[in-house]
Amino acid sequence: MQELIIEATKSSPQIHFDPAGHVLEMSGESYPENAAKFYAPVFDWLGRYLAGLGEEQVTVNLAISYFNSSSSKALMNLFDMFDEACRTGRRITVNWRYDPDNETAQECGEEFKEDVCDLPFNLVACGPGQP
Amino acid sequence: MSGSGLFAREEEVIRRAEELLAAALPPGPGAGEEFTSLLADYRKLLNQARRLVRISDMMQEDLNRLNTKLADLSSQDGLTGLANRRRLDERLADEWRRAIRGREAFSLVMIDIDHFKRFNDTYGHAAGDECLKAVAAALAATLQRPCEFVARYGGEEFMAVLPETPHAGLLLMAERLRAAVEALDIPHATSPTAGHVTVSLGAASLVRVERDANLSTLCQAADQALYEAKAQGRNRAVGAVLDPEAATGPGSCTCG
Repeated sequence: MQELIIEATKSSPQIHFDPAGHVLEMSGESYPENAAKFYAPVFDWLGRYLAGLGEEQVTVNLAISYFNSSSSKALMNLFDMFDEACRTGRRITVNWRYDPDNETAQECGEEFKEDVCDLPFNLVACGPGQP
Repeated sequence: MSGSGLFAREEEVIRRAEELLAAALPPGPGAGEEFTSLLADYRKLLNQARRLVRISDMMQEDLNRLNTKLADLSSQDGLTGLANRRRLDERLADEWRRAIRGREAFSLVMIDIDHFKRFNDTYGHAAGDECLKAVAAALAATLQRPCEFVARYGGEEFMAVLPETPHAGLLLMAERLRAAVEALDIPHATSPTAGHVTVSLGAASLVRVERDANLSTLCQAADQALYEAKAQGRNRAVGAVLDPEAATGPGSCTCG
């Protein structure tokens, strides 16, 4: 399976999903004009990846400092997808990275964390510029 | 944006519910399970919708705060913290309209730091900046009513706007502004006027602002009074009073 790389733009995050290392990373801001269109290939890739996934430990690193409402819905769907995969035996951990000065990013992380049941979800404070 | 991608699960709940309704009635033995499952999905999605709204509100709150901060920054003079020229023009126009409605007196004071170029040449630009900040703070602290304000007009020039202030009060206020700067006692060794930093002030008042009154006429009168204060030896306030007839005529609400 090929890795998924999407370069960041002013209004969309950088995405780097590495299926060999099982590290999925997404960072930046997310307010694309059409969130459904932007995230469609991401969900498509994830669907195929999760379908072929075994017992390997997957690490999902997210550092999204600002996102619009459509993107937050897309993130909810993303976490639902991982949550469902965990329920059926996959090993996935999400690290929600936020700048400790950005209270909103932390509180949003808490909302996402509370929405999932079986998916391990860590809130990780880290300075700006850190991966 | 089409919601079909992002809201696929919501649409699926509706599709299943519609299917159940369309199925043969009365409900078969499996219907209870179906409804339970539907209800669970609905609860899950409703919770999610609540979270999404909270998240959206938080983001919006951040943007509102940022918006307020930017509005403040764009209306403030970066060095002195006073209203900048843009804000001056806005507030002056607002106060002027208010004065027209109330047919009230209206006063302006143009304030200029004496021999400021020499101050900069003598003490350097960093000291010049400090001098501007100190003078700005002294002027602002002297004004007391909420409708009064002082703005940085440009360079070493300031403008105090004093709505509802008649001429007698204006001269008193101009003298207070002058004295407040003198009391700072900032050394100015190369000033021919005094050994410390001083200001010259040109004050102009309109007895009553009529509907056809012209703000730029009042500004010009303040400018002219400032010129006279300079000509008379600086470190002083000169006042001009305009009667309503003298200040009428066409013109826009900007000073220059």
